[in-house]
Amino acid sequence: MRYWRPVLVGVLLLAPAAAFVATGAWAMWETGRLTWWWWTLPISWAAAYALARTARAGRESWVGPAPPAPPHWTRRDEQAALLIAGRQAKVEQVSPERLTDPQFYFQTARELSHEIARHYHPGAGDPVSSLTVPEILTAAELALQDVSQWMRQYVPGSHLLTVAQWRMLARAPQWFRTAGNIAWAVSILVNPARLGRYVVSKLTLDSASRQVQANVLAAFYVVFVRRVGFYAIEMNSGRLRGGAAHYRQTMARLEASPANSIAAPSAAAAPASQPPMPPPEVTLVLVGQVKAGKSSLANSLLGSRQAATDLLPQTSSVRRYQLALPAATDRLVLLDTPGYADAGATAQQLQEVQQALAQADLVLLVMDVTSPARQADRQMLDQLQAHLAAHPHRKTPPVVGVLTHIDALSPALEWSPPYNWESPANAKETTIAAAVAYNRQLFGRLLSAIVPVCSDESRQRVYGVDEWLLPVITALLDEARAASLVRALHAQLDEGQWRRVCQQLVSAGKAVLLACLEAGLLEDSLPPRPRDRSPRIR
Amino acid sequence: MGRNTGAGHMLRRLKSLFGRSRLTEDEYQQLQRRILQETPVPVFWLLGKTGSGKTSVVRYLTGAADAEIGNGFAPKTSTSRQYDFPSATNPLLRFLDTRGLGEGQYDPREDLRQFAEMAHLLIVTARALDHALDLLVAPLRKIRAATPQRPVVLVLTCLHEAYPQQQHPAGLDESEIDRGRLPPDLLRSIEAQQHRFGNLVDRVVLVDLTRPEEGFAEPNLGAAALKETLIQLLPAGYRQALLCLDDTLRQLQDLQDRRAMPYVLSYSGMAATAAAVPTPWVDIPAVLAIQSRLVYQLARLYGQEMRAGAVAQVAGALGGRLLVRLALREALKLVPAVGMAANSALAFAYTYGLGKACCWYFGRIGQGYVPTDHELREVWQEQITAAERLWKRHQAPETAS
Repeated sequence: MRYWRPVLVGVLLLAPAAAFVATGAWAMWETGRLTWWWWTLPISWAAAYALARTARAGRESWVGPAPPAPPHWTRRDEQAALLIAGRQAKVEQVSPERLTDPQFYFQTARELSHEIARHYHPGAGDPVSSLTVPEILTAAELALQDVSQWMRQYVPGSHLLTVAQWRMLARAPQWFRTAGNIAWAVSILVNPARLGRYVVSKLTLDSASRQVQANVLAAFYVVFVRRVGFYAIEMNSGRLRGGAAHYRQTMARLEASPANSIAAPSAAAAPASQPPMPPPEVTLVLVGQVKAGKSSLANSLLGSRQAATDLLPQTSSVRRYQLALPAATDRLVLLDTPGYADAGATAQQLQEVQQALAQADLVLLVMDVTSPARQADRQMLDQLQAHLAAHPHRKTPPVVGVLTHIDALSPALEWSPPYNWESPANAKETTIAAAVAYNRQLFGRLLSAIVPVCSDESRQRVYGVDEWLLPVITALLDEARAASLVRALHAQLDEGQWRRVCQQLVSAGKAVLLACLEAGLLEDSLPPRPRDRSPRIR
Repeated sequence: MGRNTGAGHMLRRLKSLFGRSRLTEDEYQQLQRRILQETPVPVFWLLGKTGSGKTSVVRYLTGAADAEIGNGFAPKTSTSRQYDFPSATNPLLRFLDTRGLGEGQYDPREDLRQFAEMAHLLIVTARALDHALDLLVAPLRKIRAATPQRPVVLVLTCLHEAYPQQQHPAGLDESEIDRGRLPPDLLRSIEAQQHRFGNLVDRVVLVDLTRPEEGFAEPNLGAAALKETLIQLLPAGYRQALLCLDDTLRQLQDLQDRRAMPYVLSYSGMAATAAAVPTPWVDIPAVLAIQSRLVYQLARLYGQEMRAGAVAQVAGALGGRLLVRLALREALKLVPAVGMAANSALAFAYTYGLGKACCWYFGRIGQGYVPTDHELREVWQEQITAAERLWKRHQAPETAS
């Protein structure tokens, strides 16, 4: 046996403790106190039963609160997650007997995936029909991988478990009960006075253990539904089209860690054979009305004067910059766009802004604080929403409102930072706070945050960019990265689709050709040999 | 039938002249509506994005406080509001403000229908450095196309944004801005604006109107030139209100006096209109009614409305003389053209004199000193002379045109 050494170690470690318990029990039996001590058992188990009953009222305590939505989920995915929550809530109505029935789980999985598919394809008669076979296989593969990982991690000794042992384990409770009953029978035969104790034990211990069993089953059911629902969502939103490995690799990049980018040979999810993927490219897009201060803000963020700025509109096409933030390991790209709401803006410029917005993972909506007319900005946000509604697989990028030119706020002649507008103490801070409040009221939840800045680099007056804006951007980077990954994943999958079809056609053609050639060659030799080599399909 | 009631009405007013009846509240309301239709109230149509300085322009032209202006505006159409200064019943100046710009998709059609006849002048405001103006230019184009004859003034505001945290360039004050003194960057921006608006506007005026607490040495940079431009562009008959207001407010320091002045002017203007009826005797009750209401209005403004005695003293000291003088001059109306002008001038002067005397009198009472009848009459006499001068100075263009 390979495991005799650890087993022996375990036995040696536990043996003294077990001996201790045994001798203690024997000593108590000797002194006749065991009868009294025994009663602590049903009492404490009864208490456990009561506790379990209260837990049943709030199932949450067993299952834990629903985990927060994964960062890469789009709004449509979050809506689909409500269906899962609905399923989970129904656990109360399911009897423990059904919860032990594997058929029930199979049925639940089918119903749930249909329900979710219908959410994604509301018009389709058969919502599942548009899914591809590899997608479904990938979902199953991922779910099974999860289960096997869960087994390895949480079921003790699972790596030693054979099928035969597993079957035995399933029957173990029955053996235990039988053995217990025999022991009781013998015990009562020896001393009929123990009958009372037997009744008490049956009443408390059995119901308590059944209660615990029901709760554990319910918890398992909730986890099961959550898992099935999760992959159903991933599958229906089209993120599994690239296969399980590709999916895992992409999701592994959701977390910002330098390990992802430099060296992570033992990353649990990514197979070691594949080279680590480069860190995701997160695109920050500066949009705003003409002369709002986008290029100045770009320069302030870049830390150097790279974008041309002037009193008159300067930026006439989208400019691309590499941005390095001290706290971020991601590759950041900053897009500076021409301003809108300009009577002189050409249709092409506006289209360029739209295109830039379509690839935004984080939008910086730059607004001149001294010009409170916001209609054009509202329109821009509406267009962004419309674009996302037309592309529901895209994740909504967070939008940060940046109020520029705060130095021009009343009192206009004063500029002596630092200012602490969050708890205003002087006139300038009060007007800054009022401007932020006005815009917050105007835009409400459309903006993730509103940050006032002064980005007047030509007068060496940059303030608020490092102090307020960068922390906000850094805090939103996780969300932005998720948006970037989802966007990149779909772009990659869409782009690769036709190439893959071509590749498949070529390899299938090769196979057919090989088969034909083989058949042609074989025509000469009269005895038709059974083909020993099937054409390899790549 | 209409003539019958008209004749009956005239008879009643004749009776009232001899103290046998006075105008009822209903009659006065009716009268006031008619007079208002004929009183030349200049109407300014303001077009500009939120925050472009419309309120500052109104504040400068009227001398009213921001809050007063803000509360004074009443919704007119779904996208516009109207502010009658100093009040809706006695307007001296009227402002129409399009609220829609920059807050929603503004369609000027409704306002055009409503204001086409009404507005004498279109004031377009824009910050000199603001180039996000397509929400402004598009409706302006429509308005200009619909009524090309209405003058349009482009007011470029907030010049100081081009030189943040600095005082205005040296040598600039309330009079017209010498562009040579402005920073070159700002000039380029202004040129770009002029190019943008092109012939959509008739004049371009530069101003920088700031509240005193902002700390600029000149809070009304270039504003006198703006007022000058507006007066020039107004139809001749409508210049008087602005001119008189400008003239009289300049001498006043006391806040209460400054607030009362527009009322004195608007009531005097109404009295002048009421008196410009080419029939002798009929207008006297109207003028008297207007004057008595002015006295009550002023008493309210000076916080003296509860003191019936004060109002009675004014009425006693001045009322009788007023009536006699007016009655004497009524005879002039028998000579049509001259009589009309003289009567209007007289009604204006007496109402103005009465108003100013009241202001002086109530002001004194507020300070704890009760003037004698003699003193009151002296002030009145003085103010009538001042009013006659004012009338001559600012009424001249009208008779010329």
